[in-house]
Amino acid sequence: MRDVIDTPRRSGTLVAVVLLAHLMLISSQVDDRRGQNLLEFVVFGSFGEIQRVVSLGVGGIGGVWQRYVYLRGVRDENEALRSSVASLQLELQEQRSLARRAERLERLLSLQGRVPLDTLAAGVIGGDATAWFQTVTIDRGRMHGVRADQAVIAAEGVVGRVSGRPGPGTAMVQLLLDHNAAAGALIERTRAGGIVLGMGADQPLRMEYVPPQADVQVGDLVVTSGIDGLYPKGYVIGRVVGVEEGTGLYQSLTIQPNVDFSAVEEVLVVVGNAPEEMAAEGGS
Amino acid sequence: MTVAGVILAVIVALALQTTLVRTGGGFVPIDLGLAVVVYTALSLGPLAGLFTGSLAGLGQDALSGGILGVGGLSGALIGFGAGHLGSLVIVTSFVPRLLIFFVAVVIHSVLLFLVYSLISPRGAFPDHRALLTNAAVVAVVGAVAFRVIEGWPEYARRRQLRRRALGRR
Repeated sequence: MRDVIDTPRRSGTLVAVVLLAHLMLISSQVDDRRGQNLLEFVVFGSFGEIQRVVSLGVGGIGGVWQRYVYLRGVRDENEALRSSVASLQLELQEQRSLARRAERLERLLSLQGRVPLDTLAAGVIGGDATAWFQTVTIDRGRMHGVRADQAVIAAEGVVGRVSGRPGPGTAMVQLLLDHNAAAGALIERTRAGGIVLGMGADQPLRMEYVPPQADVQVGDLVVTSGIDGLYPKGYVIGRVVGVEEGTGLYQSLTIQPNVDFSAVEEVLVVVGNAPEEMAAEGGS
Repeated sequence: MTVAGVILAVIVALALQTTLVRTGGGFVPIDLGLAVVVYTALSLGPLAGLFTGSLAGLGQDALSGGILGVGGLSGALIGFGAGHLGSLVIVTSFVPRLLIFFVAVVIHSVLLFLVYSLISPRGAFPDHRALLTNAAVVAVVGAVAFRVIEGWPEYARRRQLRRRALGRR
């Protein structure tokens, strides 16, 4: 590689070729974001499996650290009492963690029982590789029945949708926070409709295109309307925390999402029942 | 470092990056992929940085649901720039390396923001605390990795000598 670097002309040509290739790649996608991209599919599909293995490895190392190395360090202090207290505290933490997990799973199971949809429980195994997009990777993929654009919900409300073609055992979920995400929504109290848009990390959601005469108050609950064909009707998105006059004829609302996206660990993927049917069911 | 080694390092960095962000309980992505890019660029030169940046950037694009090529373009520019800088200035001590890693992360974010701003009007610059945390962690990881990798052969040699000396006794 050093030999190539030493020839400035070749180096310049290579830089130009690489940059041009990237620009062509970008421009080929900008006009057609809905289309499937083979490279993205292959990279994500194969990388999802690596993520699964690394996730297991990190969990294992964490377990070894907590159960062996840390406790051995305590034993080295040769204080039997402190060692005993430490191990009990560790056990307590584990039990608390298990209890919290059981609570979360119970809420998820309860939701799964309540919703009239075919859902599939999934665990979140990876976060976003950059700060630009709000996505997570879940441990369910094509072989489990996960398909592109399926809605993903949690006990607290709407999480997002399956983005792109899922890998065999994993899938990428675009969170509602993502600045490319949107969902049809309505104010539960007055049924005034609009579109909820993600604004990126650490930003509340926006609800646009709300009719100017609509009665909206701070604290109103915002739920999915089902008209987008992605999300089932009636699921909580968040609460109104600000009402402003938007550009043009519409009101613009600031929405605090109900789901804490940074703490989502288990989700339900809506694998069955088309959203149109759900909207009809919800409307009837 | 071989080509396979660089590819493996990028894969491991991206896998750790996406996994640790969850185990950390928050959403501050630490750009370990970029740390590998800058490390490769400083060690092997601008073209190695260019290709490693492209590879890591494309991987990030694919894993983040972004537009394929944006991260690749930005990573390639950062890799080439860091490698070029490394060929002009002697960067062998800890603090200058720390600075290069830090600045690389910040410039990378600015480049991504500029490209995404051209494509999507709703693109927002990441929270400055998240960006600074990311840059600081990448800088420390990168500079420490340099020191460890560079010091390893000497450490191994000394260890071997010590073993031989003990064997003679």
